[in-house]
Amino acid sequence: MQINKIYHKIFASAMLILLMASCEKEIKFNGDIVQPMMVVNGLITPDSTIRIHLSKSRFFLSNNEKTEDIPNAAIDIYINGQAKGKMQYKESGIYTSSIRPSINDTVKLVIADTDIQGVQSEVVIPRQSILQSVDTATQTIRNEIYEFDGYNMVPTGRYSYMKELTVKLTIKDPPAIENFYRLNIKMRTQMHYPDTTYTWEGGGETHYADTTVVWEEYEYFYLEGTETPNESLLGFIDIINSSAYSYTITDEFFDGKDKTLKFKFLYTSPKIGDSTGSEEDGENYYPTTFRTPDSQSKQLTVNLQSISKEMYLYFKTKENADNVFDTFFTEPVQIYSNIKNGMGVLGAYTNKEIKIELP
Amino acid sequence: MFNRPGQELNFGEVFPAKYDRRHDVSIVVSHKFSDRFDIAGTWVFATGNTGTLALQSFIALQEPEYNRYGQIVSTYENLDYISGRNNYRFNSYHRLDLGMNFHKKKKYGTRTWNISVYNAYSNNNPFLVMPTEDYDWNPATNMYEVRKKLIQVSIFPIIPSISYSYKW
Repeated sequence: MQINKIYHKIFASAMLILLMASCEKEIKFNGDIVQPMMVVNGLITPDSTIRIHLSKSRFFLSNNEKTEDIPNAAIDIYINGQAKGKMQYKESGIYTSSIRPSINDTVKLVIADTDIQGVQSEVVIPRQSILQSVDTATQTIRNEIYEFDGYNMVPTGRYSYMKELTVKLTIKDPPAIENFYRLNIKMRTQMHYPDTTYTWEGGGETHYADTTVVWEEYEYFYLEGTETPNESLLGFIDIINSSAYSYTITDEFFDGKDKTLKFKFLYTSPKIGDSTGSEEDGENYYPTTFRTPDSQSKQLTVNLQSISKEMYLYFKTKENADNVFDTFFTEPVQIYSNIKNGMGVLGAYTNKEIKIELP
Repeated sequence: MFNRPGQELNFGEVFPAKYDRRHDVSIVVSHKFSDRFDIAGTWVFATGNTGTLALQSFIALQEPEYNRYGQIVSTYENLDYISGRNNYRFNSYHRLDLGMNFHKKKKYGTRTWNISVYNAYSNNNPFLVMPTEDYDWNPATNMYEVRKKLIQVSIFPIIPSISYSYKW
């Protein structure tokens, strides 16, 4: 009887171990070890000379996280089938040339290297997009400022003021040909600091010379009509309006017609003292520092690029690969490439810029 | 997007089906010892299913090429390269199922006790395969180092069962 009890315990324990044992284990990779391939990253535009980046791909189980650039490749450029010379290596995998392509040119790159299989790719420089009209409207958005009083966030009676710019672009899409667009916006800010001498509390002075500072930055914005499913568990019903640095668009649903793109963009007014204020006393409040600009201006550059199909497919598939709701059962998205025997993209775009002075 | 000319699934290339099993064998043995007792066993062997695995990674330039501060970006985005759909063959699938039946005639019919074991030797058959990484401490460098590995997730290890049935 006692022996039976022991057997029962052993049997029950063995069953429990077997059933509860982890169903996850490390396995040996049983495929072929894939040799590194050449990766080309190049977007060509008539506005500048041809510039690309070359690197090697990495085996997915390689513990080496470092990207290996390719410094000694021979890159031949062909424009419309005619050899135009070689690209020169600059640094960090970047190759440049003095050749500036024109619209409708077919640019072909033939890349050879002694260590890795050569690749080639070609792309046609697209025609500039046609903008029928550009409409802008600005309104002031007021938000009360809240401060933490130690327990709660409480209203301060002061307000922050933002400007909301609405931009409507109407594209005239050429009929019967596939067109692809990419929209991005860039803010250029210019600030002027007057000649200032600051006296420190403990004594001593610092002199700041008259300076003008200019910088540009791409802005996140949201293009209406580009709602994407949320990446949450309920992604199939949730819709989010996600901002992006750029939007890629195909003319598939408006081929040959006019298409209006609309986006709104929030910014702080460049007018000094116009960003926060007290409504009660009507005084504008501007945080003073020992160095305050006496003038600033903001200019928005809206760039409606006409892009090659290769560039469109590459960005669209890359975006889809990023946005896929990652579960065990999700099929990963393949990223498009037009690099023969390699990976990456050789794309082309033509800029169409509109500059808007922001009030 | 991928059901249109030039934008097809797997970029228009032929690819194996997920359940593309080149070999699928089942050996079934059963024996009736008496009217009261019989046993059966089945051994199943099949080529592993296929799955999509990104076997390489590569870098992409960040686009636009400037960050919020107007500087040309010096960092790159890492992307997975998938050579084709269902490009990786999982390990083979095999398992042994055993069962025994104890029959007894009763007043109004026959009762049967069945004792079975599914996947008797608890083989970890592949359900899915995915890359992951461990962080191993390296005392020489005094740092954790990444070790990438491939893991296989299995479901249904050994599953014993017991059942009772009555026929009349």
